[in-house]
Amino acid sequence: MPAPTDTEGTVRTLLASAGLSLTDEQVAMYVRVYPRLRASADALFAMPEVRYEQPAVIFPAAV
Amino acid sequence: MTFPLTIEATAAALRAGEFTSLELTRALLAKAKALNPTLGAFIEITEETALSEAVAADAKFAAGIDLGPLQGIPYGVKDIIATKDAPTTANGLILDRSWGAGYDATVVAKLRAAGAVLMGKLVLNEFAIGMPDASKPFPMPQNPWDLERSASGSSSGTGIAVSTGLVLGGLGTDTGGSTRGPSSWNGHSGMKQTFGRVSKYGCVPLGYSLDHINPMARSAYDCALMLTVMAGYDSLDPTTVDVPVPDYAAELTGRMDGLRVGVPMAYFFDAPDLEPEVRAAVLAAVRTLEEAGAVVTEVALPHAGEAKDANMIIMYSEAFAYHRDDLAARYDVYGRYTSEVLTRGALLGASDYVQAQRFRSYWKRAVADAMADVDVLITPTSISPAPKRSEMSPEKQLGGSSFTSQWNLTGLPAMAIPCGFSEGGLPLSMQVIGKPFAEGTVFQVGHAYQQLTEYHLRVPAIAVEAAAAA
Repeated sequence: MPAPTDTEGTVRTLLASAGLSLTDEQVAMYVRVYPRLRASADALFAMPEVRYEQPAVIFPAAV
Repeated sequence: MTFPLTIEATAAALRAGEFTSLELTRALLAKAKALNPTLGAFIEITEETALSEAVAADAKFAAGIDLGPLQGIPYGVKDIIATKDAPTTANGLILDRSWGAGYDATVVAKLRAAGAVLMGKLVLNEFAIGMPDASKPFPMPQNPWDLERSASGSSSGTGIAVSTGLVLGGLGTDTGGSTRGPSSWNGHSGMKQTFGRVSKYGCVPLGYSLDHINPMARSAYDCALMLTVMAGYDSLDPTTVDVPVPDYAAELTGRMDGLRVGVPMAYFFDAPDLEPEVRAAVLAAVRTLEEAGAVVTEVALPHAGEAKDANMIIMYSEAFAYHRDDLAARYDVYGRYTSEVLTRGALLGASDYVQAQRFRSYWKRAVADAMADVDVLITPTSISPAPKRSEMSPEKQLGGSSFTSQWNLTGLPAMAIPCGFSEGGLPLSMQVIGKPFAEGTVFQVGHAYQQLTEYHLRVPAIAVEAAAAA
């Protein structure tokens, strides 16, 4: 068996840590989409406009 | 007997005694039963409920009791919203069948109290995400304008049923475009109102901070009639906001004089995957509004692509929290495209989610700045007319442009309005976006446009033939 790529290893770890046991074919699908997802998330960290923003999640202290 | 296409006209005809709600309901039940095997709109037709509610509506008319324009009007409910007289499946085998049993979602209770007639529970993409899976025991939704094409999602059944006149209005939900997409590809109107305007109590969640329950109907006027009933604070849903609910339809004048329309050309009109005939139809609609008195200006709205991605990250993360344990235990019980898309949430981290929420704060302000000198924005609703189902995949959708999800991120009202047909005879749609809690202005634009055009009144041939055969 060839050594997994970094992306494949990362994806397998993330899926396993969520309790997901998937076939190689299913894992391959997530290996394909992972770079696109990762790039989308990283792009939001790269925006200077967001550097000092508060997250848009609030909650009322009172029940 | 020929029945009107809109709630507005039907409400007038019922009061004029042209026909009864029972006659109308029986006709629509017959049409729904005839077309459903082909179109896949309903999971369950609630015939007994529909007939009894129609009889009750007629009895009220006879007694001089008028609960408002929805009395006696047949409507359908996306089967992710609880109704006390039919099970809720979320179009799948995962949801506990006791979920939602025996009670109405707040919106359904309001529609029932207004005298509307429940025709049944409508098909959706399972749990309001992914794509239909033909291997599962649920109807496959078909686009009534071309059966090989997608009816969009996730409120596909509502879109089909409204387009073909199986119901006069229906409930959809929208987390990234699931009301506006089906409205766009099936050729009718659909309003995603401001977040917090309508209670979500009794709806299976997808993205807690992005979900909305919405009216879908042929015209903007009909959506206004429905939203007036559906809206309002609900102590059972802490995200609802206690602000006055206007009588939206009563405020519609059909005039555009002085309304200021902003057109964000970057991204929304220059996306590489935007079909030229969609672009041309929406810009033609903007010109129609300008000729009717609107003041049109181009506005700058940077980072719309990042807004689409932030909405996606939040939706995947919130949805995965809800589904993680079921995915781990029963991955293959989900439809294949449902599990495929939901599991993407496992690939994102907590900081990714929080960063997307930080972007959300930025984006809300950026949109407010862009709208400072306009009343509404107009964009295309979809990048293309309905594609063939065989050409669609979740992976393709992941990399594509979206013009709807940005408004779930802000929570702003956004409505799909038919604005033409493609060379192949498929509906095209523009999206009208308003300021917070300014649904009235959005309805005003949609209604004014629909006084000048008749795209929203066209009916697919399959429904015309069914009506002729009845």
